[in-house]
Amino acid sequence: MSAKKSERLVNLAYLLLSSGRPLTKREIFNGIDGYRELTPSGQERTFERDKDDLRAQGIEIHTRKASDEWGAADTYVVERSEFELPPVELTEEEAAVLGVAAHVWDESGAAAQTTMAVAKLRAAGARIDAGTVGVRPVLGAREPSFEVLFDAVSAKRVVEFRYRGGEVRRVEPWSLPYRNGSWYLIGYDQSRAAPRCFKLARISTPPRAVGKDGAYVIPADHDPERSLADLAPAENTDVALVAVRTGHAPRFTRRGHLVESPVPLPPGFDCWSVPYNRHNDMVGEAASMARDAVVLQPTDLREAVVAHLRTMLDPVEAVVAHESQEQQ
Amino acid sequence: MKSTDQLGRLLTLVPYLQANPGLTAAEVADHYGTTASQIVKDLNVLWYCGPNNLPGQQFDFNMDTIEAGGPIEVTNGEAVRRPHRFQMTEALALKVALAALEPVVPAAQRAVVRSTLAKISAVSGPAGGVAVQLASGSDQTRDTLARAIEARRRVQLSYDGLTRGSTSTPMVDPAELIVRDGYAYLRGWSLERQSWRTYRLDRVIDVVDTGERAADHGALPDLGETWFGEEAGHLVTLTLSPRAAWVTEYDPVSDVDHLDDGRLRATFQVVDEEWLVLRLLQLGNGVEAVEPCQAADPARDAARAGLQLYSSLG
Repeated sequence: MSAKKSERLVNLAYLLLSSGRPLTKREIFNGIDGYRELTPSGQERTFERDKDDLRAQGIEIHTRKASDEWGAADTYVVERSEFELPPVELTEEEAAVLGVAAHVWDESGAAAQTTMAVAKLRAAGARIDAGTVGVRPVLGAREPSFEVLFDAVSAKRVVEFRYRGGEVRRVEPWSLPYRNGSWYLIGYDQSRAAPRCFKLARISTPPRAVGKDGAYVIPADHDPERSLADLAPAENTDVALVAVRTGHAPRFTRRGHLVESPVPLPPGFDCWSVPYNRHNDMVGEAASMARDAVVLQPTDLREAVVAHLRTMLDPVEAVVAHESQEQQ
Repeated sequence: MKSTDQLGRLLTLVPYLQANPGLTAAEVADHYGTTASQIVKDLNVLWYCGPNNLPGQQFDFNMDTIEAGGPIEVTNGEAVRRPHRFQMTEALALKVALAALEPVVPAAQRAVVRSTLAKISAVSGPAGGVAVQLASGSDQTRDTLARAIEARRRVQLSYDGLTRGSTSTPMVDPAELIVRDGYAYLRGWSLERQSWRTYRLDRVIDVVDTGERAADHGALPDLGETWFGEEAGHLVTLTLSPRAAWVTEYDPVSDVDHLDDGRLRATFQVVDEEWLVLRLLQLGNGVEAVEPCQAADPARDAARAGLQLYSSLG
């Protein structure tokens, strides 16, 4: 935005804010240098654009229609109560917390927005310290689509993007849960006519905002916190019996419990009942612990782990290993 | 995210300067996340602004002093005492920051974070839109460690580390609690390894404050931009089939090449050999190639050992 335009917009906002009564276009155009130097049609066009720009900044210029009888002109006003940040009384401790909060987002996230929010609180008289030295950022957003989606969720703007290299999806963003270092988008997928969850890391084209702000309503019962809980791994539906070397494989033992072994185990090994829900994930997980944990049951899981491990050997060695297994 | 928002600053600077008199352009720039020269440009725009354009009623600044680095004085600002209210994204960003802080601050501060969040929500409309969960370990773990750090005491951890997926009990002089990518970590000096180590808090099963004084190990080294742990590692490039591509979303990659039909070539910095063994075991033939090829040898040995164990048990 050019300095000239910024100047005109600031003057427009402040004139209407401070005038104490609604103003006509004539009073506005005569009262601001940036308008006086324009032609009449230029003034009209500029006024419409300026109203849009101020609206984008969160400032609404209301039109008061004149009654036709007197041939009076329409007037315009900015409501002080809509414009001003309401008073906020903060304790010293709360101000200190805000000083820390100012550094929570890193540059890839929403640091600029937080900085501006804290600057506004300072402008309202809050005494917020620069924050403890050495506080490190806590929230970031490596996903390039974050910025557009963060704005879209705030402004209720429809977005379009390709997901996982597939077709274009048109989505009404509802919320952005963040879990395990990854951002997700929950919203209404217009192409599927149903709510969907997207992992931002898998959005394959930069999301484009389409249409106006406030284009849809977020359902009253949509709870971003609950969506977070929904992202947690699904219930475990299967159970494996695993022989574990004592003191090892905490990934299994922390979610399982000790049971009687179906087969005799050598000293130093215990039998654990370990829940899981996805066969393929469990195969990978068990393979990674194969030096210290052996799946006893179910048989198809056990065989899958063995086959998986064999793919890591060269083909000849794999055949030899298979044959020696067969001989056991 | 970049702030292109000169207009946003212009609509808050005059009230800000009246509420915070005597600051220099550099100090103001710090609070607005911009440069001193940008603030001076902003003031030069505001110089032509005011509540109306009647003579003598425009905002006035001591520009010569300001440009020389002196404290800013503003006159004729009385009509605009209060700043513009929060933009939706500003309120959202601040509220999320506060919500993210709650689990990671010491117990005594949590109520303060909540009351702050309530006050901000009261002046900014309904919350929501962003929900954040940070895996920060148990409250007790965090609080014990925070107290030990402050009192400079040695601790003993029960830790489910990566190494052979077993539980270890390291003695650590704890230095700092940090959060990265949604996980909280303890940085501390490991007495066994005689070096700085990082421990993920959700893998710390227990912490015991030994009561002994921690030793001085010098300054904690900077983590730096690329967060790969405490030691320099070596680079390994994996060619991944589409079903193994998910790894690049979870592990720190320095480089990803998208090949045909969904395959990827991704370069990882390996500081812990065990991490690479575990990943290769987990991915199996989802990893189509490893460069340098010797990097795959320990994993191959581990696969052999695993197969041995499978043939001897069950």
